[in-house]
Amino acid sequence: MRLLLAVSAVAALAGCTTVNTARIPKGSQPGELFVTTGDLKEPYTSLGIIQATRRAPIFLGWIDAGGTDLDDALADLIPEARNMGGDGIINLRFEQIQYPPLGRALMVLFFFVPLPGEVNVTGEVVRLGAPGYGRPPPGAPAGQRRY
Amino acid sequence: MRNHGCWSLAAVAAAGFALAGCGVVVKGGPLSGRPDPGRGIYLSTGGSPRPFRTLGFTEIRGYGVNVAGIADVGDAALDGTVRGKLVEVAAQMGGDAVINIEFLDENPSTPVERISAASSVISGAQTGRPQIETKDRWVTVTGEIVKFVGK
Amino acid sequence: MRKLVAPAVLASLFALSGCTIVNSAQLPSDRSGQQIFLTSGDIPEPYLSLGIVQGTRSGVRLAGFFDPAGTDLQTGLRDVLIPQIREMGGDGAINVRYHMTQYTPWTQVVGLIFFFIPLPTSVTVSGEVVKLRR
Repeated sequence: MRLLLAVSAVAALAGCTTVNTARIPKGSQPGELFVTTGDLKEPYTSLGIIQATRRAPIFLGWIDAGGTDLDDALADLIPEARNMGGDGIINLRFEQIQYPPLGRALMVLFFFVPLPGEVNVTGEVVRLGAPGYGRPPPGAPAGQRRY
Repeated sequence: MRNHGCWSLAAVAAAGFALAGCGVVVKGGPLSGRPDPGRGIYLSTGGSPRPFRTLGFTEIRGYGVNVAGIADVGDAALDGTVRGKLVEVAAQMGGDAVINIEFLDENPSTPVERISAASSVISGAQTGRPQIETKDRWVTVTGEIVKFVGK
Repeated sequence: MRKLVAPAVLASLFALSGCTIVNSAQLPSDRSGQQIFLTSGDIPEPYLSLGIVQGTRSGVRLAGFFDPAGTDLQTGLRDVLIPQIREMGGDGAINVRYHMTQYTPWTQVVGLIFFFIPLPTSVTVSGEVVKLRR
């Protein structure tokens, strides 16, 4: 009974908005890949498209042992992009299954039923500069970033 | 006592492997770069390198099947839909490029899922009842088809 | 006979496994002002944002193939989004996103056979309505 009251109290006070954030590298450190949800105006070579998916059960509403949040998917994506020879990832898109606090609190009661967790992150891996096309077009930024 | 310890270790190792094998990365081939190489239909997840006129929009969903965790058959591959079908549709519409391409491989198999499917084949073969696990696979791609204008 | 079952199942799987569904909407437009423009990206010129809009049209597919409610991309963009843009006084929409229910030909054939069971279908379109500052 006390557990039920506690869970109900958590649920009542928790609200219905779930927020997830992840820090993305800016590429400002030497050797660091840059990641952006935007496009790139300067010359680049496309190395390919890439997607990272993580899928694992979430126990007791909150225990995400398999790592199905944005940070974990980026941690998978960035080394792969580096292995492809990329300087950065552009047009990053992402989605993660998000549960409201009430739903998570209910799973504490129904502890034998794990919640499915999943995150998908996609993007295009690029290398700055376009060596295959000769010199960069006129009007290219004078100080191009080097990584 | 020793056996209990070994089983506990095995269980922990299996759990560790299971949780580590929950991620998968899928890749597709290169798209067009910038500036426009001028070879074939220009493809980009970003905008257009030149002024354009929009011709239309397309959504493509490729369906395939993963058999026994080993073989992927069908059209649920990023390259086939993005660099194959999308280019075909753009050409049919008379387009020069597909921009703002978005793509999603809806359910790639994680290493854990692949091993589980493969092991059920093996265990089925051992018991004399062959069991081939299949899984529906889907890839969705969208893009805006444009025609370059001006020079 | 039993020995043929597994290979037959496998062969059927291979035969039915490849399948790509393509849906397109032909809506030529540009920012000349002669028609409402739609683009899935941004635009380089100044604009006033009038708001964001999302529209969904839902219906059923009868006998697997008939879509009386019009839940395809063409109808969704032309009949749901564009009228809304006009109503808001916009010149067009940027960052347009769209998604429609897509069934494989196999599912559509099953829908035809079991014609008394309609298939749920819908199209969702969204974007930011803008007015060009000219």
